[in-house]
Amino acid sequence: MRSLNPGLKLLATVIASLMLSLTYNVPVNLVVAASCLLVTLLTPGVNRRRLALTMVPFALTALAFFTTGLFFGTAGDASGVQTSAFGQRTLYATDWTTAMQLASRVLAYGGLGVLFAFTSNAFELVMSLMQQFRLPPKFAYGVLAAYHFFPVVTEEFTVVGAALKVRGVRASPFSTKRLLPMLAHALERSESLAMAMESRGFEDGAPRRVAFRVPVRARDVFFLVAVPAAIAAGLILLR
Amino acid sequence: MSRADEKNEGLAAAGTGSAAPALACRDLTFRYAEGDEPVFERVSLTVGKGEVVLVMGASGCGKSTLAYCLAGLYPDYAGVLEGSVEVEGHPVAELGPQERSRAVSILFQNPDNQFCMDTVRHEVLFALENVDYAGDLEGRAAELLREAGLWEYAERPVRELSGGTKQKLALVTALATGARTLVLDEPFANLDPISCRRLAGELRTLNERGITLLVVDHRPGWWLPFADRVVFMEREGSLDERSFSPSGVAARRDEFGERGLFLGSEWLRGYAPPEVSADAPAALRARGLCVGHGRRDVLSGVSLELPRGSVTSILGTCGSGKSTLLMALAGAARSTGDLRVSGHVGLVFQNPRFQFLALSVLEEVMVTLRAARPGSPDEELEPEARELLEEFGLSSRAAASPYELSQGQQRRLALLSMLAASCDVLLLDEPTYAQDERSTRFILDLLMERVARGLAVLVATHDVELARAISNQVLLAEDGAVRALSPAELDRYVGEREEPACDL
Repeated sequence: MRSLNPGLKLLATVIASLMLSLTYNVPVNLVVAASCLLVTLLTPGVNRRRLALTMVPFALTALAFFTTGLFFGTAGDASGVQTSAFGQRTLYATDWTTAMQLASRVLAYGGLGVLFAFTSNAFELVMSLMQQFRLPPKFAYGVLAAYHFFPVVTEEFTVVGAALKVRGVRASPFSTKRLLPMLAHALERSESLAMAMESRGFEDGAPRRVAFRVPVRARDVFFLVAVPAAIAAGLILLR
Repeated sequence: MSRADEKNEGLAAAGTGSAAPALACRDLTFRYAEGDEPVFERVSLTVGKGEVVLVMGASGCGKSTLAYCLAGLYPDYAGVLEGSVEVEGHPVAELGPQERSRAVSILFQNPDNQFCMDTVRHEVLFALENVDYAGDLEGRAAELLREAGLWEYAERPVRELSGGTKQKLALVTALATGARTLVLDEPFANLDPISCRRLAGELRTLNERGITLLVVDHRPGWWLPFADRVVFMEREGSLDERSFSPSGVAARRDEFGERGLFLGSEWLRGYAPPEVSADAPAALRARGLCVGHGRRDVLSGVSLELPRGSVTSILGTCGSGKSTLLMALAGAARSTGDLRVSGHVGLVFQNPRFQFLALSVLEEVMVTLRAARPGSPDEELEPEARELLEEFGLSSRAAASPYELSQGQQRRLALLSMLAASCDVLLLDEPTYAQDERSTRFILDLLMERVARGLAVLVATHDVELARAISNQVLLAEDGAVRALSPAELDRYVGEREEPACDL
């Protein structure tokens, strides 16, 4: 999974999600979710704990959609589900189908998402987008730089927080007092980074070597065709 | 041909213009905006091939601006430029970044903001890709890293490197572009003395192999042993005419003094640790303190005491935990253990820009005064704020934005914004970095005056000689612990790290 071309993998995932979003096939959704999770789990080097944590929001959203769909399905008088105990109505739901469709779809999206996220490398993705999808280098390297600066920005956030605290100024995490120095810094940093890139010879549009080839091989194309084809087959066969 | 001959030839070429000099500017005038007062006017400078030229000047005199102009970054990034800049005989404005970087590259003061890739190896490959390097990219990257002694770091994330290693990597990437001239803008400002020495050695070797260096720095010590010329930055005219060789430095000691520039550690002679009586009460006392970020302890078992009216310094390499300790002592980072403070603790950050909260200098002081005395009306506080600005030499800039100030002024404002709250303990992170002698003295004098009135001070610094000159006690942060240095240990520690003497 890891050795697949990340750009094509992303494309396959996007096509798969689009196909699922246009259809309402519960078994296909569930099969997609389950197989994605299984493949991710079987990929060596995947942190299982992080995978489980990542799936939690999807599971919760799926549950929320499920209950929402169950109780507020189609029209109020549609055939529904009703249970009772001790003469009290304990469950009155309008629509199992809507509930399952919504919930399983969220799980399928989640599955596709983690399959991509846990088996791809940001660096290779950007390189692949640049090489196979003509993303301009200026934009690609900008994204990479921003990505690498994320830890620095969190550190700055702490330092600015400390500065406020030491001066006896109370400020909420998103107060302008906190954001002003960070904004000033972000501007300064982006400028000095641009200058650094330029003085290392970076020029948009100039011919450049490629040190990191992200190749497109037969298996990448196979993956790109096979995933949508499998979903299409599932949509036709599983009802 | 010997190195000296090569150099002489370079110099001759610079003088006669028979062969193109490495860098040259003529009648250069720079303004930050059209109609502004120029930063410098009709300035000329010629740097011959293979030369090492050190540019010195007071904070804010425009020497970094000149460096950026020579490296071809200005006026693309800021300002308006008149006059000509030539790199190896070609007008720099006509070269694209790719071509330009094959001739000249620049090293910045801040080692952090000059990388855009994740690992060391990728960063070097990035530079090689940029210049469309024709040979084996991986092989060349490995070769460059091996030469600089960075091969063992090849796969390490850039952000985990120490400041010194980062600057070394920046140097390697600059060389990867094939640059024959390097412009260095205070490359040592953030480094500990051992890293400075290593990097200076590296640069010297590069120069011996023919690389031209134009250096902007406040501290001449590391450069004089191999510099060819020293240039004082002037507001206008030819800088070459008034340049001199390092052997002439000692004779110009007075001129250095008049210009407010560092020359050796003479300037520290006027300073001595404050007199502290043996029974001075402790303003801050820590016992068995553990400090860190998140779950990771950076320092543990820290015990220290800051008596009233005393100065304590803490030394240690970049990343040894000095800054974290200061944050923890100020109550702004996680700490466990026994920490007792009597009164208010102030903290002046290494980068003063992090602590500015207001849009004007006056308002900046008012923020502190208001926080220190809630309920007092502004009319009562404002005269006081103005008086403080006067004392700190900032009253003429009261309405300016803190971000517009020069570096030295920013540092003074940062100090003032802490002292205005009448602190009992003041913690300072690198208070003297990247400043000329005059601003450094100004800050130290202000500080020592408050110390005489009972302020307890803890200074984290790389300036080992300063630490020895002003401190009652000197601590060393090393291997996750902090210990006091005995006078003998301190002398040895300083001896291993002091800047080469400037009397050549």
